[in-house]
Amino acid sequence: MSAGTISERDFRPALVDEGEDQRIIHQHVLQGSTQVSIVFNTARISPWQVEAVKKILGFKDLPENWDSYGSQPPTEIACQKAIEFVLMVPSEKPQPRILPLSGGAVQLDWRKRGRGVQAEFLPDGSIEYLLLEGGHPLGDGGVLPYTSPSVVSSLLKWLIAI
Amino acid sequence: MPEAPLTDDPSIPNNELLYHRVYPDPHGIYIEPTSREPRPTSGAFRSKGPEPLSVDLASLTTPEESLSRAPRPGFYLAVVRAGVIRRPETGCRIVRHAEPGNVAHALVYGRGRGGALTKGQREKVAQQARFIVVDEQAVGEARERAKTEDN
Repeated sequence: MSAGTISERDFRPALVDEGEDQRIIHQHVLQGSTQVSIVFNTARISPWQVEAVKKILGFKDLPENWDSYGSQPPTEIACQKAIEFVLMVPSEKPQPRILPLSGGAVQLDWRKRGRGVQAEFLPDGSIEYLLLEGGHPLGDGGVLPYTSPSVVSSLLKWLIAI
Repeated sequence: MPEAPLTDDPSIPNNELLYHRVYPDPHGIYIEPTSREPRPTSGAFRSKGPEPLSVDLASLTTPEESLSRAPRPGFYLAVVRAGVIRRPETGCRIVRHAEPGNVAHALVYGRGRGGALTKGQREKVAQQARFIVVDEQAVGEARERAKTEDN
């Protein structure tokens, strides 16, 4: 395994007890670098969210010029913010497209019957979003000053409120 | 990177096709609900910084030559017509920007910082774009995903 490579074997679950609250810990080991632990509450996490986190973590392994236009891979903070956002999504909600973006960013993109929500996690940790109605963008997008479960929930409620 | 021009280059005709390479990922393929045709998502048209978007003028190159500039095989190639992204509702400007070894290189300027396309402009460009090179298995995956998005 090369430095920084993530394999399925390294993304392994382990059950631990935290008082009465049993949680599942997915340990993600980066060879030659810091060990990263991501704690999921088993009552709130769904398989698609685990897959999403794994995909985003993998963006850090993209090489320079991964996009063929000279971009660096998504930054650590962009990946971290995107993961936080994914874990705030109620598990039954639609699954997003997840893509690395040129310039060190990450995009989550939800579509549902002509509506859309795009959240872009920028290299400095800021977040931009764009709403689509009838398939068309509503303006040039906006900035999310922060994320919280209520902000995420509001965006996704708008998506499926048809 | 040059300063943003006041106007776009009229020597690039509206029927000129612009090529742009797309990182190969099935999530980067969107199936249009009406035509059922695959197209790139808006993320493909984000530039690597506050700067305009790089494209190749199809009249001066070939799909194969444009793809040969990718660091490895497998990249998709998207195409969009110059005239449609110049329309006021999209508002892009296009200028020639030949580089050593690539006379077909051109830049698409948007309303964003440094000439980058805004998120809204990227979505509009993506909606007008089509793939001319794409992995068919990945398109199949995208069609399966589209079924969940349409219902």
